[in-house]
Amino acid sequence: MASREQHQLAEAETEFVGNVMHSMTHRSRWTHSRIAGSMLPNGATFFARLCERKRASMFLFVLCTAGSLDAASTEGIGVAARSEGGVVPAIVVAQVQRITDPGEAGAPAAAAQSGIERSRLLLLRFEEGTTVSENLTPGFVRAGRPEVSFDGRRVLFVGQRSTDKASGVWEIDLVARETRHVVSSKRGCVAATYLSRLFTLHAPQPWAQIAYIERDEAGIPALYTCRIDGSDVRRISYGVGGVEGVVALQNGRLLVGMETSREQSPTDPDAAAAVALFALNPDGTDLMAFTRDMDRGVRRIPQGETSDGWVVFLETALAREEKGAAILAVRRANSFAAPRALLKTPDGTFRCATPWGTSHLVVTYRPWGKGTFFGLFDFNMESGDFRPLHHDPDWDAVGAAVIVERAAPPGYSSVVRDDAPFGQLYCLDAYMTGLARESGTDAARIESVRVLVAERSQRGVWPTERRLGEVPVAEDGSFFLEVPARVPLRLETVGEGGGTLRAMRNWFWVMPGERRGCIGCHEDRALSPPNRHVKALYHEPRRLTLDGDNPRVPEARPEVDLP
Amino acid sequence: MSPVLRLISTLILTGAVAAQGPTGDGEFPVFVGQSVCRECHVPGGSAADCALDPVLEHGGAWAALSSRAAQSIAALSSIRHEPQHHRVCLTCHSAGADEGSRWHAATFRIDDGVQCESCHGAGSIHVEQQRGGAAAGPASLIRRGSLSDCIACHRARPSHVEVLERGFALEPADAQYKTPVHLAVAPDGKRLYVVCEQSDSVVVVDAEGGTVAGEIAVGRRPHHAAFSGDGSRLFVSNRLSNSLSVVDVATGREIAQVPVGQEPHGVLVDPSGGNILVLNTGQNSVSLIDGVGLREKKRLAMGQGPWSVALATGGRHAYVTSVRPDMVPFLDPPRSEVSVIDLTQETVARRIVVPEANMLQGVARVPGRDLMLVSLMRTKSLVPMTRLSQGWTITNGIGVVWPEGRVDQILLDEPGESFPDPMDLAVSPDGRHALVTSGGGDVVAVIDVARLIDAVERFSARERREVVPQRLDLGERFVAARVAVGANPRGAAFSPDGRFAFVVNALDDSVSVIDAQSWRVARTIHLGGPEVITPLRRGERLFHSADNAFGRQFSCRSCHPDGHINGLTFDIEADGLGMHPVDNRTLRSIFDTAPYKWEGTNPTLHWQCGPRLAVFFTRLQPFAPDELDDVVRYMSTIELPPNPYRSDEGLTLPQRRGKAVFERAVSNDGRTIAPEQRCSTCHNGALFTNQQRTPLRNTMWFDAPVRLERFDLFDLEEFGDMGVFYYLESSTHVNRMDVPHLINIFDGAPYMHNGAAPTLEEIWTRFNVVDDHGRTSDLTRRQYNDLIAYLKAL
Repeated sequence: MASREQHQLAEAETEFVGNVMHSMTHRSRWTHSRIAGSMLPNGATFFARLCERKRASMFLFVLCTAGSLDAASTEGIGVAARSEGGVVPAIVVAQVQRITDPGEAGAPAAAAQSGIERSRLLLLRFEEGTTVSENLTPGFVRAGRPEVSFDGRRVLFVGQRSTDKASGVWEIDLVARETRHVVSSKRGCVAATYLSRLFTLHAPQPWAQIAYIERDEAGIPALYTCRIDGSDVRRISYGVGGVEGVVALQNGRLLVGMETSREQSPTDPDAAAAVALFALNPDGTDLMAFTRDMDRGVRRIPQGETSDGWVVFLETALAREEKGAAILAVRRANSFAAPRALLKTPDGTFRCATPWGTSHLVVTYRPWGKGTFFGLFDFNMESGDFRPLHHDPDWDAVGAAVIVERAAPPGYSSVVRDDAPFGQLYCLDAYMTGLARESGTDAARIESVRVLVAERSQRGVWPTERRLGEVPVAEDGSFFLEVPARVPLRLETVGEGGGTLRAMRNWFWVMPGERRGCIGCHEDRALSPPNRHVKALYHEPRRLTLDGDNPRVPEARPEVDLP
Repeated sequence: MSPVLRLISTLILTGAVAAQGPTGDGEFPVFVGQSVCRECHVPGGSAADCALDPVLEHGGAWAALSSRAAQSIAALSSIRHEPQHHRVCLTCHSAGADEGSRWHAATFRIDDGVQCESCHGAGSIHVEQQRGGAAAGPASLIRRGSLSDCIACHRARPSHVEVLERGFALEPADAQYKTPVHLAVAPDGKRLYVVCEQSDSVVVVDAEGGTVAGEIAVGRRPHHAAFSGDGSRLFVSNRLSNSLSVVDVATGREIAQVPVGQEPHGVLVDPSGGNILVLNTGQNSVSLIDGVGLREKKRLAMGQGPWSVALATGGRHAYVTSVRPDMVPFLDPPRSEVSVIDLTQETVARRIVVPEANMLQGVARVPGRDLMLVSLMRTKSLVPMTRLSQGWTITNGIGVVWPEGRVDQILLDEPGESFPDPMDLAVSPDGRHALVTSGGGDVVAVIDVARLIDAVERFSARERREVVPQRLDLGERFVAARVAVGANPRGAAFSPDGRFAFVVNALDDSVSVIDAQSWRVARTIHLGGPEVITPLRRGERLFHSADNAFGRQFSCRSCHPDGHINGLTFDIEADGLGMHPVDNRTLRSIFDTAPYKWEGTNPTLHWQCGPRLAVFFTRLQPFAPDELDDVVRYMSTIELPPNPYRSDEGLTLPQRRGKAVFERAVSNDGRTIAPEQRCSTCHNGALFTNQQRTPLRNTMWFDAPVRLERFDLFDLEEFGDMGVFYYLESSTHVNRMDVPHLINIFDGAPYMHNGAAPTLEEIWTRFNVVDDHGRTSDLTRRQYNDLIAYLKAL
């Protein structure tokens, strides 16, 4: 960095800190920093500094890439946080008490995720020049992952009343100030979200439900749903990897982060795994990759969707040496397009970026460094304004939800039948890869498709794979089979002599009664199916059963990516 | 009239009918009316054993049709005609309705309601023989009434229940909506002539002031309009009048109506020859009207359901889109036709095939380029309907039609959200931009034409043929804007100077004026329809909105344009994958035909359009109860077009002969036909359905999954002509199918439960060779023709 720039930055820092100190002392207007251009790519001049002084705020301040600080004043920041869309509504903040100075990046976040004690939900209201806070969970030793209902009147959260009980899902009625228990968990809930309503032919009417993440018997975080009263609990995810984060999209589907690989340390339960975004229906059907680049060695955690269809997620690098994080967004209508980087920093990390309205995010951010902690910010996606909202040096702000009414996603009608132990799979053309069909002499003939099932005993242990069976592929490339529901499955195309031609790297599942179709093997998500009546569908599907005699597959890492 | 005179007149008329009646096929009686019957069938009379009293209790049946309730009931039966004069209503509220007035004697009085002949059939021959003292014999016997005759009318009819028990009634506002579907901009650009379907009118709008300047009454359900070259006349197609209105623009009055073919839609004025082209959608033809004499001078065959027409560059050719696909071999992908008319020669110059496309609706020329644009859908009719994401059920886009006849298809959908129901197209005068309206999405796509061409031409010929039409991510390359407009946008047009584009919003009675620079709605012009939204209107909006399907992939209209059919078969998840393809059935006149769907598994429309539609089609939560009421009622009121094969007087002689074949109980070889093999056993009542699930004995191999011992995959070709391959040896493959109604069956092709029969003839000649679908193998060619003539008249 040029010395002149350094000087400017130092001056700017001094000015900013001074403003913060002044505002904290006199509860007057704060000054905020502004990012001129929301994306700060790696290598750009980027400056973040923590101010640790007596009762002083420890806010991130970000300088523009040009190195100059735009210190335009903003009325009421932190008092009545204003944005271009108007006053920031009340916010529920999940806070984790800082017991010791972690001194290590991400420590409070990790602690919160693993169920550290002394966490709470704080209601922040910005009223008449002051910020009013209220502890919403006084009777809880832990409370986090707040999610506001579609009508803006209730808050769903994961909470624990005492340390000798596992965490469950709770709901606060913000009007009546009543807290009720929704669902219990033996192994602890991790996150919860409101869902669209669900309907089946056997139900008189659709019912409201929630989804939550709970560890299964193997210790793997899995996705469950239940009615809003806690009844009718159903597990809806059966992947080998754990589920990390869940939000409801405006089209009624669920967006989850799901571990896709543990290649780096498959037997280390604490090792970070790559997490990719997947979408599925609220009944667990039709699991699909949501974004491209599934295996880039990053963790992508879903955050939510703006009212105009931008789906926001956090991305962090897997490699420990690659610090930094980014807030990215894709349009739900075309989620396989390249994501738009909203905020990107190599010098800090984000814990949440909850969308509200058409263009705002409530962000919790913490720069790397000793003594730093997570503060709460409002980020305007259109203008790039990044404004501090609240902080508390004794508490890390690790999650936030804005109390605002939003459109409920449409309900979903399900074909899943609990009495059907099988689901069906059909493929229109196994030769279809990418955007086109493989053809010509170079295209290896696909003789059959092999189905593998994974059995996983505990988290951190690589699953055992068994061969469920093989079914022939018709000459037009189609196949049709029936497979056990609710187990992790993987497919391989098999050529002459039984050799594997292509293999899926990730697992998927079918739900009972689901009839799952795909266009081809590794088809592009931008491809719609050709209108063909395929030969495999001329007859009933071949049923493959899991009966204990399925031969175990020698451990061999799939070499061909087939998401 | 004295009994003697009445008898004389009866005999005279009976004789007259008999004289013009059939020869060789036997004579047909006419309806004489109960006054003649009562001459003998009264207490103390010569035929006192058959009392009339029970019948007389039905005497008020016809009068009941004059009530307001009857109007509402008729509306729910797809009938907006006066119930007292509509055949379907008269079938149960009077006698002799099926044959029509041509087969009524002068003594017959329709206002006597349900009469003896309602159950016993026309009685003139019986009367004649009895009067003549003929011995009782087969010829003198009239049909014996039975309980089934009672049941044919005394069935639960949802249309009646909705009105008489649930309180449904047409509201005044229902008749006052405008429902604009198209517009024509005056050549000077000062006025918009908005064609309003519901109000049977053309609303005149001052383009600059944005105010309604007048309203011109035209025929029933106008659809399209075009100006004469000098702008002095406006020609408007009337979909349910089967006519073309001629409007004098200066006086703002309709000055003539020219008869054309069935259900006319698109209109084009040939600027050079003076001909007016009117597309007869219901008859797959175009009428060429002499612009001076205003008489039809020629009719040309078009594709299936010609919809829109536009003049090509150079002015010599007109391009016509087809809303339904061609009849193709069974289980082949659909293909549709763009017909090219040589206006000079008045011939069809070319029939361009658009593979895998259907619902070609809008068409427009691109000024400055020798190409046309058409709107289209690509319906995945052969793919199991198990998913809605990623374009698995319907994709939507446009076609670029090049001069040599090649068509590049490219989608306007995105992977996660569709562009449902592309309707009309308009191209700016400078040829730089094209508008496409999304009827189901309430949005307009603005296409940058240069970028569109560039996007297409970047691909190889193979990719343009095989890959580009399937891709959901290309729209962002050429769609300059997506503009939200009103409810159910349909017709679109540019102002002559290109500064503004106009889009008519059918279901909120408005016109959106779009600034062609900023692509924002500059103004919304309201056409004067009622502000109140009635339940029927709400149902109409639900029917036309894609908001009710996952990813906004389709609306109800996507498969049921004008409440009818799209000519495709579908593989629906509920009955298994691959097998059981089912023909898409019309929604017209279905309310009283429960059970529903081909398999007859849905007992009510509420079940079909509620839970079942949600689970197996739209995948979203079902309509709320009040929404469901609204959409079912709207669907049921979708109007039945007039039947061109049936005259006001009733059946022609060949049709009457066909009716005899339809009702026959004895075969040509003198054997009694078992009741289950008679047409009228299953197809009876006012709508020609017994509303029963009936064993489908001509189940074909693709109607059920094939159970093979070996797991061999087989070729379709192994089965030869699939139409004559049956599972006769195995009753396990015999399905039970709903008996469909036959009203307006003439325009319901393809036929049969799986849509395998492209014509009525093939139902028997190809798919009933062993008499599994009624006894027909003994019919003569003439009898077949008569039977078909009769069916077309239903």
